[in-house]
Amino acid sequence: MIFNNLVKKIEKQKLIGRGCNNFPVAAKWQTVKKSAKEKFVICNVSESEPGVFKDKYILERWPEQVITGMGLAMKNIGATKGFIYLNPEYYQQFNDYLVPEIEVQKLNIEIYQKPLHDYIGGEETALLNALEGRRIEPRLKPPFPTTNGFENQPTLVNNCETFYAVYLISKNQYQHTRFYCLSGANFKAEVKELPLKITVKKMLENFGHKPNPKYFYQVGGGAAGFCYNYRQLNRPFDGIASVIIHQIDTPEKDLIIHWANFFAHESCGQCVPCREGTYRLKIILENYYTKGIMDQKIFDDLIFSLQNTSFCPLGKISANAILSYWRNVKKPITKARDTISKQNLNSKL
Amino acid sequence: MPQIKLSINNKEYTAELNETILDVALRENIFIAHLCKHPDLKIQGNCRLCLVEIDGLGLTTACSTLVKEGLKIKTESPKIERARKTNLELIFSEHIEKCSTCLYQDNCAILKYAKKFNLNIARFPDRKKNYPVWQFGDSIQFDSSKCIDCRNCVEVCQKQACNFYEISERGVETIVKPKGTALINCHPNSPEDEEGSCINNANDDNNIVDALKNNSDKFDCTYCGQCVVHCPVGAISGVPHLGSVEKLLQNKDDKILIAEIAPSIRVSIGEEFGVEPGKIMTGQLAASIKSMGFDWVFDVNLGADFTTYEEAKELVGWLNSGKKRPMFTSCCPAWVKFVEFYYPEFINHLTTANSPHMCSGPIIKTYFANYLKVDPRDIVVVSIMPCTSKKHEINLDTHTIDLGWCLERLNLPNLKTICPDRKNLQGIKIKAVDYVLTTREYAHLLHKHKIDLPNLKPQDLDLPLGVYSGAGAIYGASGGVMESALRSADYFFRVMDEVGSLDPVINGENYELKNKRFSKLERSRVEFKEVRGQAGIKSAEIKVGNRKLKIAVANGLGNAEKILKDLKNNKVNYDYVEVMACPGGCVGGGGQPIPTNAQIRAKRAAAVYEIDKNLPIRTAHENPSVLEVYQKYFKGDEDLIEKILHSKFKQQEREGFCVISNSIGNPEK
Repeated sequence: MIFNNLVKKIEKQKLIGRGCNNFPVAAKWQTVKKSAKEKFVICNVSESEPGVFKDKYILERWPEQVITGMGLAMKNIGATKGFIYLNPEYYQQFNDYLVPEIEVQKLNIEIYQKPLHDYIGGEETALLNALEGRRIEPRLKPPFPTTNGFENQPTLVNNCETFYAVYLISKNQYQHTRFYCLSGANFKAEVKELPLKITVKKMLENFGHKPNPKYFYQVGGGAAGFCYNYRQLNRPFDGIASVIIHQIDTPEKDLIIHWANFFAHESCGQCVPCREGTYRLKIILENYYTKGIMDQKIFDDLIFSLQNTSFCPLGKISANAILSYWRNVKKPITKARDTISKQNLNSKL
Repeated sequence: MPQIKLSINNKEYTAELNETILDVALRENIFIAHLCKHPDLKIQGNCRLCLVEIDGLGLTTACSTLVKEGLKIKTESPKIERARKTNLELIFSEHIEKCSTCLYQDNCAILKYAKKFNLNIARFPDRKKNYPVWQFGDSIQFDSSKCIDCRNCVEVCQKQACNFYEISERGVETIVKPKGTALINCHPNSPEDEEGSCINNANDDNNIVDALKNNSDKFDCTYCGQCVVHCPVGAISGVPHLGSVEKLLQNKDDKILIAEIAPSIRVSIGEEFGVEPGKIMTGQLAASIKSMGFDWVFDVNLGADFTTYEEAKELVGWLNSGKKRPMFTSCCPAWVKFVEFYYPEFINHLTTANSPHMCSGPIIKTYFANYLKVDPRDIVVVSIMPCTSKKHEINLDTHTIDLGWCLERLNLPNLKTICPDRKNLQGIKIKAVDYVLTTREYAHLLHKHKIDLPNLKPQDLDLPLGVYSGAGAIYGASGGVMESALRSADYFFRVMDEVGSLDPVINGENYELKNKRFSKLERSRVEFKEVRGQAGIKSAEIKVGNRKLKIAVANGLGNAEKILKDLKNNKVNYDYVEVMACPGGCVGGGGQPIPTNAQIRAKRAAAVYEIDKNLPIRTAHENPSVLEVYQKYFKGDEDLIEKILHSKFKQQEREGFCVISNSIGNPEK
């Protein structure tokens, strides 16, 4: 059977999901395939991480290939229906192109407009809730969507780029490449197809940029990504293949408050550490930058709780950028915080 | 289920594969703090308190993690302590402490944890101090400034098929609220607040986040109070009547104070005093009520016998007529409201027999007032109930007593001399029951007066309205009302067959007649075990009299809705259906002690059947108090019986809610 061969091919090519979880595609397909129930396939084009725009790039060029990839997945695992989950902006842009293509390929695929241009709505279980008309927030895992997904049926959720790669594998055209995004102040937002497993430095060089001390680099997305200085870029990408180049002299306050605000604003409000923690963190940092007050112990406890006890990844990653910025880009802050925290041990935030 | 081995705090335990770590810990009495997990509900994992540390995996929540072979789990460690403490302190920042006026203070989980973990509960500033207190109808109050957004109420309300609560907004602005509430500027970020800061509300496109379209006018509260018993922090409560009752107890002002106790509270109130669920406390309750200063204490079990008598009579008539079946019970006011609001097409199926305390209430204020020779307006009746919707029931029009009509129509010689102005009383209506205290409220009153209920010397309830049968006693458990009615219907059917009418029943002649004229009749069937138990829906075919009845018993409004839908779609047909809004019936009522869960409900129910088993009289139609009232008072006047013991139902508009205040202290109406 040609379709069975496809899973083997995917496995052989060691295709890893192109969302952010680094999950092997073949394993996911096999889990869904095993079930005898009604099944669904979802193409996730939420693309809600700032600084990531490769799905858009792919849909502009290869929409029919993505749909074919989805169709292969549906036939292979025996799904009755597929959904393309587009964020509102992409829906505007692509709906009219995708609909006729789906008709041409005679596939039972529905295009679904993501209700909000939000962050958590791209998480696969929050996405399922959105599709079912429920509140947009993540579900408890396990059970995973592969066994209990859309309408509690086994569901395959893959990223748009993954389906494109599946198409290439089925045509024996897969070259072990992926799509990298580069952006930043004074930089043109650009996407390039480059080999897997290159270092950040190598990637930047491919875009024609030589790392230098005038900048610092946020790797892995504009919200969840870690900040590195120009000497720390000899590292592979872990998950999202995106780099944002920041001017080194961007005011610290603007950056930190921006990141803190982002997560406080995007928290779905389901669990205590994220609902309250991201908000309190934001207040603490605002007070720090406006009044010079910070209680180090509270700050550290909040981060600890967010990173270790949040319900979903949003809370866990909410301090990535801030902490790595202080660690790798601008160090003196820690000392200042220590002296301040001693003076204000008993004060409220 | 396959068994596996795991270690908790370096000790080996066996567990089943489908158990969570928290299940095992609770079973083995290993302490793990937890808040949002309730055994009646799905696992939510949103409070993030039940943290444990697993070797190689770090911190995880015990409620949502299934056991695995070889797991090495610690329930205490510096990491656990640190994160748990921080999360609890964050929870406290969402909860305005109003402990001094909070009925929940003795059971409050977060207060216990605060003491146990030595928390700094003011480490983060309170965020909800401007949040409103909502009141639903005249029964439920929801103080959203105490709400910790755990969502138990939302889920339980959904299970109750009412969906009156919703979660709105996102992030720190997330709010649990009754449906149809305009958003109020209660968040600290709203402009008028001093502490205001910087989430930009102005062009926040997330306000449309409620993916569900609202249609809020289609949802209303039935006042069942399940949200109250499932709230871990006392944010939701019954509308307090305790203040008014306390005032009366302090200053009686020539009033006669009468308390009556519901069938199910005697088996649950002990829990408020540290006694095992299911301990029977009838005598202690009577003693405590007397020592609080009430003049008389009666038993709603007697009222229940009246309900049974009328309901069984109606059932026999119903099944002998061409009326559309089934007949539904109607002694649960939350269920009645559910039908009146959500399924008005079934209103005609409800028995019109009053609920127990709505039978005893009017009898106290007419028959017993005459016996005491006092003006009914000088009598105050306080029902102690397992229920929050009873607070709503006593305000219904159909349950008021028209004094003028009573004096005109009833043979009440004493009252006629006491109330010489009776001509002017035309149209003056008084409430049959003045106040309803929940089990929790009454326990709180006793605590306040340092009355140690379990150690009181038991006393008898007062005559003449204290004699009750086992049929009345079992009203507290799901299936009890059905069983009581079947016991009497079994007998009434035989009367019907022999006499050709129910006249002897209407005249209250049963017992006498049974001994003379109906001597051939065997003793009625007493136990109908088919209808007992905690299952959500029970159905059976039961021989009653010479007929076979198809019956069903539902507890929980969600289960009731299933039956209604099946009836509508002609998937099922029944002759007689009992519904109790709360899981397990009144033993799991919205006014009962907290915690309430399946295990506790089963223990309370078992005790109720124990009372029945040990009573000499086990059917309503053999209760001499009931028969006396029918013989001496109603004298076969059906019009009068109708007026005193029956209600009228009508389709209800949404009553919704109102914002009552945000002041600490006295939100009483």
